[in-house]
Amino acid sequence: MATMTVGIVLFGISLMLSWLNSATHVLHAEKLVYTRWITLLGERPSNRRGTVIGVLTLVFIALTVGFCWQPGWTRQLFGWSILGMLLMIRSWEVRQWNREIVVGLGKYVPTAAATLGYLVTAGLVAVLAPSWNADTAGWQAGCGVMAGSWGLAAFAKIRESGFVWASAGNVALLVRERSYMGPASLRRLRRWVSNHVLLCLLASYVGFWGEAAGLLFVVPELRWPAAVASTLFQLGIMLLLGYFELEWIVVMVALAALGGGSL
Amino acid sequence: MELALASVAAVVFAALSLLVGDRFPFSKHSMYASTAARDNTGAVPLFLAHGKPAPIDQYERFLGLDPDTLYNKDLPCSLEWQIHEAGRWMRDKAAASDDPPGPVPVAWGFVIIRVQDDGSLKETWLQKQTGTAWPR
Repeated sequence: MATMTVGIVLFGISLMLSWLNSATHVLHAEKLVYTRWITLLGERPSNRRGTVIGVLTLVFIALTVGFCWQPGWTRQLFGWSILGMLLMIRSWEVRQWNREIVVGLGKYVPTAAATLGYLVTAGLVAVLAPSWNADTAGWQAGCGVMAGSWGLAAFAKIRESGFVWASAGNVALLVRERSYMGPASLRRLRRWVSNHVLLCLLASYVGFWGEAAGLLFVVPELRWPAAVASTLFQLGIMLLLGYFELEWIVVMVALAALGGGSL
Repeated sequence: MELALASVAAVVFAALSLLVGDRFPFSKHSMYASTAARDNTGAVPLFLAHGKPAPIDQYERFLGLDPDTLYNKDLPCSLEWQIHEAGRWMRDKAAASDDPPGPVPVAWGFVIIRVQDDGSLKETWLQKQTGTAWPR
């Protein structure tokens, strides 16, 4: 019970992280928000969207609390409302740029995807198999969606680059390219790593096969090891590539906790 | 049964993602998937002030830089988002063409990084544009 409570609280935090990601990008759209977003969190916006975003954020917090409060039809109601709001803020973010530049360069919403998996499955089970625990079934589906996301990431690399993606040269380039951004200590670390072929080869195998191994998140007994591995993986991305994907860490831990029930 | 349910969800989500593409909340998750097809070459966009790398948002007016031709997809760059942001910053803060030059000489270009046969990396500077700017 305590694990489920921790899990649902973390899932709520993950929903908030997803909202804040796009909301911050809308709020500071005129600045270098993708370069500086973490330093912009405390800054006053230079436009009139602050009030609107503030009100919408309060509504989103209320919906998230409602979603986390208890399973059942209320969670369905709050969950679909949350998905609607995430769709709205993401569309707003995308419209800050010409064409679909933001989507094309990678805009992922793992918690929203897991929420969709949860809502559809819990709803179907509640109607079609009332003897099962619909909430548990929903979280199993949420875990499945995350496993599918990791598998897709690995599959995309095979499809677009082949197995050569997992090569020292490819990762050395990716890391060296990012040695021109971020704090001086990280820039030095990236330059050092990119000069070591063996380290880059190791990182390339971890990067590729680690994503493929994310498929194991479908296995209930392997979810905690997968969540821990995913956390280390994302920390590695933060250090070497400079992308702060906190939502990916929190949602995996949350689902590992929520996916422990039985039907 | 839990494993079966999660597996079905994984397959359905993956199949729908491949079918509908990057439409909320689905995605093909293809970020960096094509980077190994770059022929062992990368390109880092850089803004220089006084000949040294500088944060572009420390400048508020630009003269002589063309934000629309910063990147013509002619280089293997995996940091396109930086180019889009820099381009919009320059475009929003372009000086009038008949303005006198700004106090700081600036340049835009790319560090070209190539993987050598022995696995080491070699960097060269490719300058694309020059102009002047006004510090904030």
